[in-house]
Amino acid sequence: MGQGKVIAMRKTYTPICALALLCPLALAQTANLDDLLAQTAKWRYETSRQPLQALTELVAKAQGSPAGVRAIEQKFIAFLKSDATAGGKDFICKQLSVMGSEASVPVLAALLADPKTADLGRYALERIPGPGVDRALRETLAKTGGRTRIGIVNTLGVRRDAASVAALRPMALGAQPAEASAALFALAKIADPASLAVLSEAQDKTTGAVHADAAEAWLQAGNRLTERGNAAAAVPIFKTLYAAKDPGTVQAAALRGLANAGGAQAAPVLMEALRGNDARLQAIAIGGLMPGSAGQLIAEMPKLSEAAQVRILGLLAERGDGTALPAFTTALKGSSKPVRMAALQGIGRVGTASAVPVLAAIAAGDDTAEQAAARAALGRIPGKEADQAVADGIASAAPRVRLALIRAAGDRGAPAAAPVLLKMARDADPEVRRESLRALHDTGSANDIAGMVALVVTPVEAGDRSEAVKSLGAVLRRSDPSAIKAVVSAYTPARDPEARTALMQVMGQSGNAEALVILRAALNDPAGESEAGAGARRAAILALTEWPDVTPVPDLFATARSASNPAHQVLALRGALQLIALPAPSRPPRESVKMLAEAMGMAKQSDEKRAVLALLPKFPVREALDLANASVNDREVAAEAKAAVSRLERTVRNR
Amino acid sequence: MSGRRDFLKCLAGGVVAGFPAIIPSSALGRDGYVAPSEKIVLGAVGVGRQGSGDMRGFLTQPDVHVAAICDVNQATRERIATVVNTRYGDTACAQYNDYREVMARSDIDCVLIATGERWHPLIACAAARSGKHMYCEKPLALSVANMKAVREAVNENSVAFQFGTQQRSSFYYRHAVELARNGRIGELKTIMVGSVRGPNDTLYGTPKEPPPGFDYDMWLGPAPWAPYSDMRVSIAAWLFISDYGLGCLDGAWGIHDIDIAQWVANADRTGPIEVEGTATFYTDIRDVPHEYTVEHKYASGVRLIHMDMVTARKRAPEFNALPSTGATVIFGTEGWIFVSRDGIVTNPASLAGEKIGPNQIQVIRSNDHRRNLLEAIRSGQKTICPIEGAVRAQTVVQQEYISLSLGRKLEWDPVAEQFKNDAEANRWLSRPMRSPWTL
Repeated sequence: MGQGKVIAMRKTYTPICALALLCPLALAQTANLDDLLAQTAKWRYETSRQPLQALTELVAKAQGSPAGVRAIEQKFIAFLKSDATAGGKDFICKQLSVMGSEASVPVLAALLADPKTADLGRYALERIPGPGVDRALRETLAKTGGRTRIGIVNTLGVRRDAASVAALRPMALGAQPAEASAALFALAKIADPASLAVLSEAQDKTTGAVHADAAEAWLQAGNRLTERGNAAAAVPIFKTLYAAKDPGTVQAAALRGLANAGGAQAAPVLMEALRGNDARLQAIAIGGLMPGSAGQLIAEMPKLSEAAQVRILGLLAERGDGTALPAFTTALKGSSKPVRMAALQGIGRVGTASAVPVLAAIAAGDDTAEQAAARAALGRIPGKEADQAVADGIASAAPRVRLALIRAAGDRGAPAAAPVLLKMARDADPEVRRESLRALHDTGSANDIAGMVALVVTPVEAGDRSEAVKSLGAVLRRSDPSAIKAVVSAYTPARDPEARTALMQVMGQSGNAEALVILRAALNDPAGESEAGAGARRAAILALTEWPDVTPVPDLFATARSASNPAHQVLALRGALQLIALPAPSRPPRESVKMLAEAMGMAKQSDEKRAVLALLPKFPVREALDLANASVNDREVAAEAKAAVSRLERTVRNR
Repeated sequence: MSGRRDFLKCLAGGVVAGFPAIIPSSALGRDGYVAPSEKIVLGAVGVGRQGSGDMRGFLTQPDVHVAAICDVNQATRERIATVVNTRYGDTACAQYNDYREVMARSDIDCVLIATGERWHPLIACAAARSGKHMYCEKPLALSVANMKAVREAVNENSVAFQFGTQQRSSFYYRHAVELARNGRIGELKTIMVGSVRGPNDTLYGTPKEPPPGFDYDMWLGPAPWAPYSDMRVSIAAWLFISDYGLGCLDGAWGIHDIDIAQWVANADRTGPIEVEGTATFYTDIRDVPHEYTVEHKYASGVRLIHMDMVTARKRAPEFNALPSTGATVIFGTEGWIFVSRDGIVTNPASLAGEKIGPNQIQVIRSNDHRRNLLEAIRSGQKTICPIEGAVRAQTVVQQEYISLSLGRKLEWDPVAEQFKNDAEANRWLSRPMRSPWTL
């Protein structure tokens, strides 16, 4: 960090009270203030802001003491009268903007006279409260022109200065387009009876581009009236602008304003727009009618355009109103693909169990987009009844529909479907078996573990095992640890090597303490040194590699170091690296690097060294950088080492 | 300068004329994949580093036609227009220096807004008032008043709005939010956000005349005048100058994960009620917080703590779950969830793989932020990052900046959307604009 680049800001401050200004501490602060102001008086853009930041803090410290703040304000006022730099004055004006009072008005108003300083003065004045500011702005209005005058008009609007309406009227109706536009929008912000009268008058007395602005400004004023609770006054404005149709964007927004403010008066206008040919008005009418007249919208649907039907279905779905379900099921039977897609995308939010069969049929259809949308909808319809409908349909459905329902059961994580999925996992159709095994991943529970173990031990085909292992591992991870007993009970007597290997995999994925004892025993079984026992040891290594944390890393390191079989050494080392790469926020990065250093010491092949180097940037500490640097001169892995060093240098420095 | 009228005649000099605003039929409905009537015509305003990336994302959408590029830097807009023209095999992409020319085109349905944030509210309001849907990059604005103005304009004109906090369209974040909202980590207690810390360098520029082809007056827009320097307009600097941006607290990362925190807290229509913190500030050309810790409290009692990432890692080891530049950690009574763009890590570990079914609390599904907007344009539905949520998330950042600037604790009224009984703090809720700009 550059020297003195940042200044510490304390959490709390002791307010300076007026009396305290007389105490030695306060005197010291005053001296500090003078010193900082002297520095600020010379400040130019693109030089150090340290004195400015210190002044900001000093003002903050003075909070809570009106007299203290006013004392500082007096210093700032004097500053603005001095020959300080433009940058310094700019900064002080920004300060006054958030802490100044009417005392600052004369000096700030004086800045408005010069186009070069007008924005500075107005920046400060706009946020200072008090009628004195408004008065000064109004008085200056007549004496200025161009951008300065427009700026003042803008500020009067922001301040909603009702007293300025008389001055704004001639500008709003005048011949200068830019001034007229600014005045019209200032009047829209004020939105009191006098300004509304001018805005109404402007609708007839302006032309061309200014007329469009007059319409927009009147519209905005109408919206402000609604916002302030005066909808009755807003409705005639919206009706007039809607009828005028010019410009079209204002007409559309007026319809929206009418929908918000008009209550019963709005309904006929909205219905007319709904039945009309203007797509934009139609869209707004749909939005306006939806809250109170959804039934009418549904009834109108068959007569409306494709786009309008899509929009109605979209908004019905967003409301999540189950009574609208028939509109969706009807739409699903229609000939328009966009409408069918809208129905499919929305039915997940409004559907019930009754929609399951039709969705399953579409999910089993030939249209890829509709298939995907139907599947998503099947996975989204809420309710246990929908779970049951999915489960109930699986056994009796036609083959493709059955697959769709099996997938839906998995997507829903529906426990009700697990029993039938266990049966389907032994179906003659390999696709049905595979999908059922997959679905068990998210539907299975402790009650299903015995059945799932059986699927691992005696699958219909050996190829089914990998899915069965994955799903059983997932169910075990979310079950009570005692559930592992079913796996252990099957493993101990099993003689089929493939079944034992698969059960070891399951145990590895479970992360269960009892399973770890068994896997360690398999790993360290002396028979693993023999050709006959090599397969079992390999299986134990691979199972431990699937462990959910680094617990087995020492076991794998020991195997990597001492196994006589080179393949086992390599597998164990790679497995350990895989575990070290797992996220482990509670483990300090240095511990991970220590393990990686140990792995690097054992790595005999460049592939393993590269794997270690690839992992190092995950642990941005000095030790990782040192370890990467140590390999920079190793020709086999120099490129990877340099890449790791480069990344670590950046990240270690930033921490 | 806030109307929707044809303003072209107001522009005196320096205006870059657009190419003919006609889209050749050959550019529409290519390959018959999407019918011409279904194309959404897009104009991109601000095509620098962020905007050009966003624009390229839209360019690949089959139902979008990019018709106009707008940027105050001539070289940038020419380069990006070439990208568009190359894609379409023509020269039809119009180029503009002034965003109002884009708004004046009735054939443009949607705009991408990716200028600096000082400009976002002006352009967003103009877009809404021109009936254009929008993808608005974060941050939304530099003041609460301006954010609210955008919200009004979007709602009053019934246009679709997508905020550029695209993390909500990622599985990791959605899953983290659903896990938390479904009580998988017990009762929600604290949300910690770690945002990338700004660089530890020192930056100064040399004032000089702006280079030819760079419209500095339009670059500044509503921001207070300051002399041009190459440094000032570089992204390394301007993002961290409070007249244009709030640095890593906001657009340089913070808003992304604050948005996620708000999502976790289910606070898209409300926000925290208290804020206080500590910070150090840059004092070179930049002036925004650099190192910081800010704490909020929601009415529910849930705490939100926003820190720069270095501070976050020291305070909570959970931030080391993955080597991410920014992250959110959600703490409950029975566990925690770390989530970043790199992944999700949970304690207990098994949570990460758990499924959230249809009978549990599910949030809106979006896997593609741009497509989510395009679908909302047609369906009329809210996007995954609608204007209401954008305003509330940005308000959290504003609370932080104001509290850090004033150096004291502040209380917020989420209904009135202002600080409680604190006229001084409330002054910070708006920012005056340089003439002629206003909202």
